[in-house]
Amino acid sequence: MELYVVLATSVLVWSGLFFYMLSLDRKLTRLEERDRQ
Amino acid sequence: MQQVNRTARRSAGPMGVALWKWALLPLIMGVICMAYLWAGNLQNFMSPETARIIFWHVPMAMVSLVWFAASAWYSVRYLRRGQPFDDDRAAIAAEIGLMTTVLATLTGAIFSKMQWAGGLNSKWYEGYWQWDPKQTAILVVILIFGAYFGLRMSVEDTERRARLSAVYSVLGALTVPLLYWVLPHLPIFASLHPTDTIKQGMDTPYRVTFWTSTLFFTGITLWAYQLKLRVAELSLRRMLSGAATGAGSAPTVAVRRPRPEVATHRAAVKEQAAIQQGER
Repeated sequence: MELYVVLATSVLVWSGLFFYMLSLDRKLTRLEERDRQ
Repeated sequence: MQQVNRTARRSAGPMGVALWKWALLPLIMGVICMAYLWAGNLQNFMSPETARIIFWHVPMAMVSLVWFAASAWYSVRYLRRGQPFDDDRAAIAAEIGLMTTVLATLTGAIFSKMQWAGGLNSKWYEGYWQWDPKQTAILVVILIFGAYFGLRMSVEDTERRARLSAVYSVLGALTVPLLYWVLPHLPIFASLHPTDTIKQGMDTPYRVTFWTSTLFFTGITLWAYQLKLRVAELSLRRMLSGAATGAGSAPTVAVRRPRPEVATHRAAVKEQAAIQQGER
C-alpha cells in the first residue's frame, strides 16, 4: 500500500514539473516568435 | 546580435516543443514504474526498501558534476574569447549544478536517516546529518558555488566580474571531483556510504533503472539550462533592438524580473552604445 502511495506521489510530482517546464517552454517560444516579427 | 541569432533556435515537435523534451515524460514515468514495481529491495542495505533512493540521489550528484564542468568550460572560453555570452552560459551552468547538488544533499539526508539512523524508529528530526566524509564534501561544494554567486553579486564592473568569476568557476570545478571521489576515499576518513554499489551491488533491474534515471536527469537539467539561456537571449535581443531603434530598453511584452546574466548584457550594451555615440 505504502509503495503505491509513494509511486502515485512520484508520478504527480514529476509530471507536474514536466508540464510546468513545458508551459514555460511554449510561452518562451511564443515570446520569441513575437519578437522575431 | 550575431551572437544572439547564432544561438536562437526553432523547436521542432508537437506544440512547438522538441521531441527529446517530450521523451522525458515517458522516461521519468518509466523510471518511477521500474523503481517501485520492477527493482526489488536491496538486501545488502540496512533498510532494503529505501535503497531505491539511489535512483534519485546518485544521478543528481553525477549530473551536478557535469554542469560544474560545463561552467568551467564556458569560463575558459570566456577567458580566451572575451564574449559576454560565455560568461552567462558559465553562470547558468553553475546555477544548474548548484541546484542538483542541493537536491542530491537533500535526498542524501533522507537516505542518511533511513539507512544509518534507524529510519522511522528514530525521532523525526534525527539522523539527517552524520558528518560523513561524502556529506561534508558535498556541503563544501555547495559553499564553494554559493560563494561563486556571492562573488558575482558583489562585483559591479561587468567585465571584471566576468573575469573573476570565470577564474573562480574553473578553480571551483577542479575541486569538485577531488571532493566527490578522492577525499572521501582516503584511508583516514571512514565513510558510511556503501562502496562499489554502482559497480557490483546492483542487479539488472537496478542498473537499468539507475542509468535511465541518469539519462532523465541529464535531459531535464539540459532543458532547464536551455530555458534560462533562451530568457537571457530574448532579453538581450530586445535590448539590442531597443538600442538600435533608439526606443530605449522598455520591452513591449514584459519578461519577468531581469536575471543577473541579463543585467550583465544590459550594462555591456549600454556601455557600447555610449561609446558609439561618443565616437559619432
